[in-house]
Amino acid sequence: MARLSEEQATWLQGGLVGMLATVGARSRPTVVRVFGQRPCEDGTSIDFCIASADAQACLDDLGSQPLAALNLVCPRAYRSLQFKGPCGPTGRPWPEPLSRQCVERANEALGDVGMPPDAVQRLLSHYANGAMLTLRMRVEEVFDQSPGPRAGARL
Amino acid sequence: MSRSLRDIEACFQGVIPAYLATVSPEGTPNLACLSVVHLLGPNRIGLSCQFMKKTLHNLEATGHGQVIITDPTDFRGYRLDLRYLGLEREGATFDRMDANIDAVASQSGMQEVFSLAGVVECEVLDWAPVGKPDAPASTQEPQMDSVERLERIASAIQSATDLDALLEGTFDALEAQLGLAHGFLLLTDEPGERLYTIASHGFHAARIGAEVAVGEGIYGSCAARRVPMRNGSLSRDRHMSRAIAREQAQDDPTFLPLPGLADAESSVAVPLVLGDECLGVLCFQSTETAAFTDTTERTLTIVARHLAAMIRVLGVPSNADVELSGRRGTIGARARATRVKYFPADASVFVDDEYVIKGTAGRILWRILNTYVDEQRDEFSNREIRLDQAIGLPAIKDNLEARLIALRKRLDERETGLRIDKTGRGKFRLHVERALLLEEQD
Repeated sequence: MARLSEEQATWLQGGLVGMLATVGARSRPTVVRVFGQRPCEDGTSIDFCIASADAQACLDDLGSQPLAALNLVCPRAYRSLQFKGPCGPTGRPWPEPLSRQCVERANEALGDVGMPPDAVQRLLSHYANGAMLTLRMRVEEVFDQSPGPRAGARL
Repeated sequence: MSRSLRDIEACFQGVIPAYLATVSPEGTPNLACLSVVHLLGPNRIGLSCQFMKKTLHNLEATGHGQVIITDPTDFRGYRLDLRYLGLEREGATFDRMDANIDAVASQSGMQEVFSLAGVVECEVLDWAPVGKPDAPASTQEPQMDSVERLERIASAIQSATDLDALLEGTFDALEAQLGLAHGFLLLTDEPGERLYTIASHGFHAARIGAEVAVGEGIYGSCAARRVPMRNGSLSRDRHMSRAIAREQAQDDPTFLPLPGLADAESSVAVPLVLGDECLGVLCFQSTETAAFTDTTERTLTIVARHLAAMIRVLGVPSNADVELSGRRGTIGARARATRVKYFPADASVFVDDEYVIKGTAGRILWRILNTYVDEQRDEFSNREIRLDQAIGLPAIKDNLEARLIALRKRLDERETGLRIDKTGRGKFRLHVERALLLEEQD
């Protein structure tokens, strides 16, 4: 189990975009887009959300193999961290105010690199009803995935 | 799999980064962010292998991965299930990706850091849009008969009787048939070291005569590597390019940036290859993201071959002597003289302290201006220019016609009071509006 540094916890509340990878049958991976995240108060976990309409394969995977990889990127600086650890649904809804805040901050960050100001809404428009599913990862490892010769270094 | 990945071609332009998931032999998932996924065939893709040691290890061990790509036009994502085919460290695909990475890295001096280790080639076993299961996949509008369009462009190229008409006709045909409204043509100079702008279409400033070194930036790399270059998201590089342009402009009064749209988002450049030579680069820009498709690039590659052949045909020097009138044209108002300065070090010419042109075209201009003043003559033959060793044209493949076109357009663009008109095959006339004061600087 890894404890998130204060700096990492702060970074997790900024404008980020992300993906989750899980492991399915015969070691085939599944990727789903992450639409929001926040550090948990225990200092070792991250709550995040994925679109319910796109969650089934991911949930099937987690049912048999809970280990997942969560990759988050700050588009402004191309800084990227990858968190790995066991993961599963919390059974609680993703709070609406937090959802709005994450979308707003991600839009601002994407806007800084030339994306339209409603980039996240455009991504979300392709999901049936915009409903979110909350997942929690207990972080065991953190890696620096920023582009460069040190990509993949364990933190 | 009945659909082709070409149906979602916009996803492969590198506008929105892709994510590749793999699994280690021990069952640990891993994600890698990819700036671009390359479409190599109807069910084959290529991934540039940079900083992805763990991903490569996983692919080699398990043979499978999944990638999410996103269409920048409607932001729909697509999941592609992949089977690893191998890592290519040479060949056409590798060369092309390496050239693209080099071109971008060369603009920030990061060639050593951003080197390509190889190209991961994967077969796409299946793919589907993410999200709403009943949402239609992104499809392109029905295309008009592309062969017919190409035929019309080729016809315009081959009907040209001189280089000037060839360039104008080619850009007009490309706009009419392919909607390519903003483009320019760079030709390689005689030593093969620099590219200069000879034609410009659809830009606010034509910037004829603007130069770039072979190997420098996207267009210079296109010539050096002789591979097409396409970028669908230029905004990320634009601030840096502007900064570089400003610095050069301050240091060098003869610096003239290439033609371009201030808010360009997409560019495509194809080399004009003829035999073992690269005669130049044909370039287009657009303000739209991911404006140029793989089909556009391939069509332009064919057009560039035709264009290269015709440039060579029409650029062949005429050996025939031509009769010159030997008279000096009417001098216009002499109330204010045109002051022309010449700097032999780089053969740059300034008219009334405004930079006009340099290099071979600068030497030609200086030569005819001196003849005009010394011999009271305003008509010139291409042959006498070729034979003048001070101008320094090579014995063969001298590009003189192209230089004269660039010079003529540049004089018009700068409104210098000097003009060159073609008066027949192999001859041209200099028009001077005011008295000339010629000053050669040390």
